Amino acid sequence: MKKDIYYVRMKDREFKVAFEKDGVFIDGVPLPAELVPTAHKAFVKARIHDQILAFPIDQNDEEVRFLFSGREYIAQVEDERQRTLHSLESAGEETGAGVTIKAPMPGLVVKVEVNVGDSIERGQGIAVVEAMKMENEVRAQGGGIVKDIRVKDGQAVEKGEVLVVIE
Amino acid sequence: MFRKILVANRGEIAIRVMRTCREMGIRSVAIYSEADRTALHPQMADEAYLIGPAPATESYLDFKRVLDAAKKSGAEAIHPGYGFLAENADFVRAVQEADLVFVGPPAQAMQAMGSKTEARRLMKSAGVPIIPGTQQALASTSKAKEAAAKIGYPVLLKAALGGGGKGMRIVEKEEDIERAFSAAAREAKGAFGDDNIYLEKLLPGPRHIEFQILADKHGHVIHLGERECSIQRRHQKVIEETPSVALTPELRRDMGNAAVKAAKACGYVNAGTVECMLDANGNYYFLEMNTRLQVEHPVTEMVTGIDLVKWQLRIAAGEKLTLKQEHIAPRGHAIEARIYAEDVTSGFLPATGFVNFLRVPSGPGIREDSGIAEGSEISRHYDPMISKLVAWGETRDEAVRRLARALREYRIAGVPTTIPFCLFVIEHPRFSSGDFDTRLVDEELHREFMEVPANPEIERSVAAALALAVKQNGSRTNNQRMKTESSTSGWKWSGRRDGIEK
Repeated sequence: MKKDIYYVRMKDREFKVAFEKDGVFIDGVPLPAELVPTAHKAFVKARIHDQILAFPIDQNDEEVRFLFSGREYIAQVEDERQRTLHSLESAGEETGAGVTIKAPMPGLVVKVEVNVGDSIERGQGIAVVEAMKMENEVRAQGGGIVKDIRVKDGQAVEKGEVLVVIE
Repeated sequence: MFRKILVANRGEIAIRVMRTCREMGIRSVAIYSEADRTALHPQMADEAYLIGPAPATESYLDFKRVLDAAKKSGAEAIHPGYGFLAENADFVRAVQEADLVFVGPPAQAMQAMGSKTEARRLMKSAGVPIIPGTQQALASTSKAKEAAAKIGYPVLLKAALGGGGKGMRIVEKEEDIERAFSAAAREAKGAFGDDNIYLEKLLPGPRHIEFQILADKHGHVIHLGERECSIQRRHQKVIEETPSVALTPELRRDMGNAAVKAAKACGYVNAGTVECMLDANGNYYFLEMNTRLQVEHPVTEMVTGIDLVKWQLRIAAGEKLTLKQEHIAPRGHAIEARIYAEDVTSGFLPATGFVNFLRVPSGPGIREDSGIAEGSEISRHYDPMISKLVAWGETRDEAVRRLARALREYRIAGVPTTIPFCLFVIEHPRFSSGDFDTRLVDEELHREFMEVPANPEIERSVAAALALAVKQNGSRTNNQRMKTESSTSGWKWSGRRDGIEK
């Protein structure tokens, strides 16, 4: 039987969790760990060593977010098959054209502050998006030349919608 | 006393008011928008009326719809909560014209204090100290430049009808004033329907101290002590506490007297709050008066044992304020954390979604005023504050430790919250020391928070638990599950929302 291996990445750390016949191993070290049944699918309850950890999770295709003991975690969990798939995908992305700046939340574009052809620096304001009656400035994550503007002033945008493409 | 009251609000404050109504044997009436069909507040009331679509302008802010619901229900009074219509003098008049009682101050006092410029004029003549600046709205950018040059940079541009940091901009130097002026005016127009802007000298590192006022219709005015709200993120209060570590008994007495004077100067009635700035030298200045119940009122209730909403209702019904100033004897310390649905990891942006899981803290000294339940939707239509967590302790240290304990107990999924940030702030040595001002969060803690290292031991355990769960459940998305498995009303609602917004 093939070993069950999961990779859990949180910020800059990665843990390799292996489920084997004789127990759970984390980064090669045995760890007494078992799931405790819960009525709620979104609620994780597990016995790790002598402690029971219980926290609800919020899971989408890309990541798992959760609050544990007052601290927020964002984790990517992959099994071996997904890992292989992702490494193939990201190899293809390297040649992609440009960086996109996306709307960080749903709202209304109050003002696009750049024009096509502008040279911009990292941290520079790109657009003002209003949500909950507060204006939020969306800033460039990196520098470059504005290649395309996908929205106009007054337009409603969804979270993740591309505002501007930078090359 | 009234037999039935309409609560013209939603979320936690509507529920908070309804709770007191129930204790007093008053029937409560909720109003709700289509976006709030499954919300908690209509469920907490004795009666609930659907008054309109999701946008607040067509529901919670619509005088006619609110008053129609009041008429239909036979309510005798309207409690506005905070926000929405709470500080709208035209609404107060409309309520009176409909032969109903507004639970709050008279329109005139509200109007005087609602205009920051008029309030400044009034306070100055009453002998309450004000921050140097203009007492008139600025007609143009050039007028703003002129006024700023006179008092010296940095200055603060503020919406004359503003509050809560909206329509406000700090200007460090002249070349920035034009851009800041138009941004402030635009934001003010959107939030308050008025783009009048005035200007104040920016005080370097003030503390924000406010006094709770109660005033009856018979000329009796008292204060219930102060609240310190210096822990703010971009002018939004994050943590509030009472008493303030910055006040000596003498300063507390002086500021309390000034707050009572301020309330009397505008003919104030009902519960109100006088906000002041306190500089490093112990000088205080009137900032503004909030003519309503404050978000952070529970900390005052915790130390005084007084139910402010109960007194609001008794005063509105014409009863005499039987509390005397000398009877107000705060005990212990109380602290509140405001919990917002915001994504702290991506710059505190408002988050939306369904609350998939919720288990709130309790235990010794804890009060949780929340407006959500499991399954609630946090929509983009309304304020992202979802809950207030309040702790009481005999000492400041005990109150803070209790709040930290309770924040760690909080279990919520579906929307990211500011819980981690609140916890970080109250456990920071600068907060414990009491040596801080309104700049602490924006200039120091915010950046530090982003860089807090993880505890590798805990991370390892959490990673193992997560891998176990994913192995068992697969990588399905529980947000999708939430949507597809929810009842038909969710589908209906979603269809309606699409219809409205597209």
